[in-house]
Amino acid sequence: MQAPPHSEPALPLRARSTNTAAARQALLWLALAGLVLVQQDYAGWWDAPAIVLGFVPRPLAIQVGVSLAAAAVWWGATRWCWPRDLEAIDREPPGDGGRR
Amino acid sequence: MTALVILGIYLGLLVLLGALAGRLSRGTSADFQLASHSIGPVLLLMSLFGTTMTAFALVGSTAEAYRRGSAVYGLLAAGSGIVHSACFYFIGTRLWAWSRQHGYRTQIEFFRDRLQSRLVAAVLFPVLVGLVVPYLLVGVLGGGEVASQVTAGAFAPSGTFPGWFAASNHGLPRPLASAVICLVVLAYVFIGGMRGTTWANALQTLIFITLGLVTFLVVARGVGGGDSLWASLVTASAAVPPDKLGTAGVPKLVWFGYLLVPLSVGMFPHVFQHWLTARTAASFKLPIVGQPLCIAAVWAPCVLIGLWATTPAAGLPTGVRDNEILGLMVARHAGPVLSGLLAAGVLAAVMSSLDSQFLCLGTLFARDLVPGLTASGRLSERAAVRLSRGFIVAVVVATWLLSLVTPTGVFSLGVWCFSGFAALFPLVAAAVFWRRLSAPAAVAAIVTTAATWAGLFWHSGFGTAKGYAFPPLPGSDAALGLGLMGGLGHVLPPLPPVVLLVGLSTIVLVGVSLVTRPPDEATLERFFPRGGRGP
Repeated sequence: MQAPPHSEPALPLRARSTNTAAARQALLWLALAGLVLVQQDYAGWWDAPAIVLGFVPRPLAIQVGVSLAAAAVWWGATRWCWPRDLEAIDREPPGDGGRR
Repeated sequence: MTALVILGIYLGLLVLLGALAGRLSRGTSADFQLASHSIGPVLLLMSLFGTTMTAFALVGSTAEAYRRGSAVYGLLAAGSGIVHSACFYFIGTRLWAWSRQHGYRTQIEFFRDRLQSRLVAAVLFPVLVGLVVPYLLVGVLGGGEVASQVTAGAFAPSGTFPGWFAASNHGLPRPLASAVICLVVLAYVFIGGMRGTTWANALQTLIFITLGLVTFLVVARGVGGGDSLWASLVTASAAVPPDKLGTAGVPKLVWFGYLLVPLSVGMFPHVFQHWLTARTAASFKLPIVGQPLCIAAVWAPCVLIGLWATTPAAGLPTGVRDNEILGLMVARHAGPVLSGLLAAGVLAAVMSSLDSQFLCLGTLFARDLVPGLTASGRLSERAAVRLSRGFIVAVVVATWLLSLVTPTGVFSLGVWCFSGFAALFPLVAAAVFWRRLSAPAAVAAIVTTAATWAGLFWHSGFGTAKGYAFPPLPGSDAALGLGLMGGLGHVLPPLPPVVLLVGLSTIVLVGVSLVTRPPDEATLERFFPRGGRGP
């Protein structure tokens, strides 16, 4: 049986979509690793006592910055890396799931 | 007396809120335990955040900043912002999806089904309950301490009134304040169930974030004493000793260890239960993004208050105990009305964790232990409910009794408790992502965690040893006291307990899984369908 014409590009599109999703996941992991590196202070940026912005100790200011950056990374994750199967589950009625 | 009245009104309002939620109950156990999976993103964020923030975040962070300096935010809050959201994103959404498909209400039901093992359930139950108790202690101790501090003078002698509680400076004695807090939380949890708990959590989260910021501003004015708020902030921070401003002296291994501590969120039974209340998977998005921001909003002001407490202008007496610092700062630098309100804010943080833990204990008992009894016809459904509530009350009473003799600070106790749960994290991560995980490996990892945690906790003087690490340095008194175990110091550096616990648990879990059989293919297919859904 001949496949309908519109099914021809389906495979390449799916492959492209899978690659995009994988690239986004890789970016997410990269961003998280970067956050952890900064949070762990491997560079020793804030060993010395100092006050910035008038009243905030420098380590505190940088680590609050890490918190803000974490929120931004997670916003990106929910926007561009949200698992598709979860969206599908949201559309389904809940199962009774066999009581154990 | 003003602070006492405000606290009394606040606690009364919480019971009323529980009663209101109870009137909206659908009367089913699913509604009581999971609010019928009806919770949207905003309430989910506030209930999850409220649940994960307790006296540890307010009383503990202030005290630790006072002792250790500004490093405390980086050690715990910044890492938590990354790790908590990761747990929600990678673990929480998966467990929510499987629970929606298969009908789980507790972690133990999930592990029993995923690993096809009743033994896993039997071993996990006492370990989870045993680790929740120190978490409850954190709230009971911290809340009682703050209530005691801010009500000081409320029962002072006046006229013919002789005056009560002289030993606690005529304020509520800490044990009595702790008992009142427990009773109020028990009341609204029993009346309102998960719906009441979620509403109360949301209200309390709003209250403690708002009042936390107000505390910060009021204390800044009190300590800084400048003409403007800005001048006060600058003056207050300028007087902080330099050794409290930097992070020098915190070993890299300790930094890494503290990054592992927030993994505990992935195995908290009460957080698991809150995950299941979500209406949709999309409801998780707001908590995932909002958790780091909310943590920053609460922790940063508390750390600054702790730093300011080290300055002469704070007026704290020498030899002040860790758990007293926040209460004393509020009592000294805010008026009685604000003191009462601010104490209500701290109690809000404490109670928003206690309520979820109480409810989760009851659910674990009702779902995982009682059915074994009712199946044999020994208990009616009503008797089972009564027994579950009795179990919660028994655990709470035991916790309260322990709070009378617990020598350690809230922060230290919290870190120990979280370290135990973090050691169980590899188990849940493997259950979600690794088909090869086997039931014997799960049992071995749980037993290893429980035994190691108990041994280290005992060896640390029940959490009283500051900066405790294991194994001790070779040749030290601590190493000599351990006999053969003391020789471990020759092959391992001194490790923070959480590093040791997580490492050991992971090694055992992976090692035993590789030499034992995983669940059958039909079971695995339900969780990891080939070519279909799955993590």
